[in-house]
Amino acid sequence: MSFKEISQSGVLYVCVAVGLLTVVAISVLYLRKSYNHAIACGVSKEKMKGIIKSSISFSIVPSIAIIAGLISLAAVIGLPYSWFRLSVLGSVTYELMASNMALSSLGLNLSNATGYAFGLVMWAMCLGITIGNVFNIFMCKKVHLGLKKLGGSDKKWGVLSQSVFMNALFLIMIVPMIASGGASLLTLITSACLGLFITFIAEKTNMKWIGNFTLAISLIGAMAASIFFDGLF
Amino acid sequence: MNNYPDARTYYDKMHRLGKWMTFITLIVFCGVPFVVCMVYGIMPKISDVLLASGGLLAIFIPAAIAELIADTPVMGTSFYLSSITGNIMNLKLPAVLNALKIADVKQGTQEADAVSGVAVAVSSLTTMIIIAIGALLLTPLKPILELPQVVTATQYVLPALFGCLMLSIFSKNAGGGTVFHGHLKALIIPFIIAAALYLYIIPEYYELYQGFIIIGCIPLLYAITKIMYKKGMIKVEMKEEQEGEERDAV
Repeated sequence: MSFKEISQSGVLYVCVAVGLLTVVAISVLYLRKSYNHAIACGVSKEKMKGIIKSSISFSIVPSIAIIAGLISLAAVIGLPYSWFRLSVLGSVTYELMASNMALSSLGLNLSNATGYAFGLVMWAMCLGITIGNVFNIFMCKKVHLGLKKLGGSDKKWGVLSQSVFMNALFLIMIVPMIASGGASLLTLITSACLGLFITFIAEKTNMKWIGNFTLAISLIGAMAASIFFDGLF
Repeated sequence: MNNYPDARTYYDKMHRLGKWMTFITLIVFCGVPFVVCMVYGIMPKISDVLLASGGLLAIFIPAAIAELIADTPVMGTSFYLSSITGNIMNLKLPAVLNALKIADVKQGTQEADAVSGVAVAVSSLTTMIIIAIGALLLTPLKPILELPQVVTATQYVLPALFGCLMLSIFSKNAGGGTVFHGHLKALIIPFIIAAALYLYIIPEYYELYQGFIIIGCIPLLYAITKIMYKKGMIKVEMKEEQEGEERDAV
């Protein structure tokens, strides 16, 4: 069978369905345990409702952006495996890069790719991203609990030191957005300004509920503005 | 009577759960290519797989380590599910930061861990449902998703996200009544170095090897922050510090 035939086969659709249902079941189980524990720790049900609503509303737009990536990836590796790869593990950028690298490493492209090449692409994409999960099994607990003890006896330093890791990751990620200027920088600034504005509205008015949607509104507003900014440069 | 759950018991239980979840999903994720390859007789040679994935491993192993170190202080045990469902930077991490802000809990506590778990699970389920709808409706959706305006807007998802997130990440309010004063000063030198790397030194490799750069930045920022804290240039205000830390001691 050819690359295209296998990439659209019924067997692959069944495997993908089993994979996705497994992840759904795990997510539901984890949600229940986390929710019950949050309540046991004294977080109010109103706050939990706000968190759930906010997480749903905020996740919609980036998920639609992932569907846009699905179109590109499906053109390379077919719909079922693209659907699977973008729903779990990795990200759009990784999956596109992985599929192209896997094909080009053996001097193949879509016009001459065989069924064997599809098997190779599936395994190359799988191996690259699952290695991180293997690390988690052996290292996540040590890293998590080890970092919690970083502050030693100084509780204030303990809290401050925990923030360093996220600050470092964030800083490195936003440098290209700031340093490259143009539409990227303007979009970043617009998003921050919208976030400040909505927080201000939530604090000063009776519309406290709007605070739960700060991220979603800032995201949509800034993406809409980016269309205008992109046209300027 | 104090009914607050014991921290060590909780974290042990959740890490055990996380490891089992990861193990099961690894079997499933590897099972998909394995079954398809066995059915169609297209199992590739190990040497070909290593050749095809070598470049990817060189990029993503440091990225995976950097994410593990940077994200677990914020995400806690929910990092397992975040890794399983992916899209950490553009979905899971923002969902967690948002949830911590709404719950107003201090980072690194059991409450923060549980709240993060809820946010990650809800975000994962939402994403899977939306992508499933998108996959089933791909044909009618395609013309809309290929509109120039939509294509342009989706290219700016990360700056659109990070602008608002910056307010939470770099905020002086660390949650649960803890406030930082002057902590952003520590970012100046790392920012200058990172900008120099991006603009002049390794512009074509910066985004590809971000994992290595993050791993290098962490100890630098840690050292600068500690020096500034010891010299009193960065101050931390806390309330209920004794109770909070004892409850969450591991």
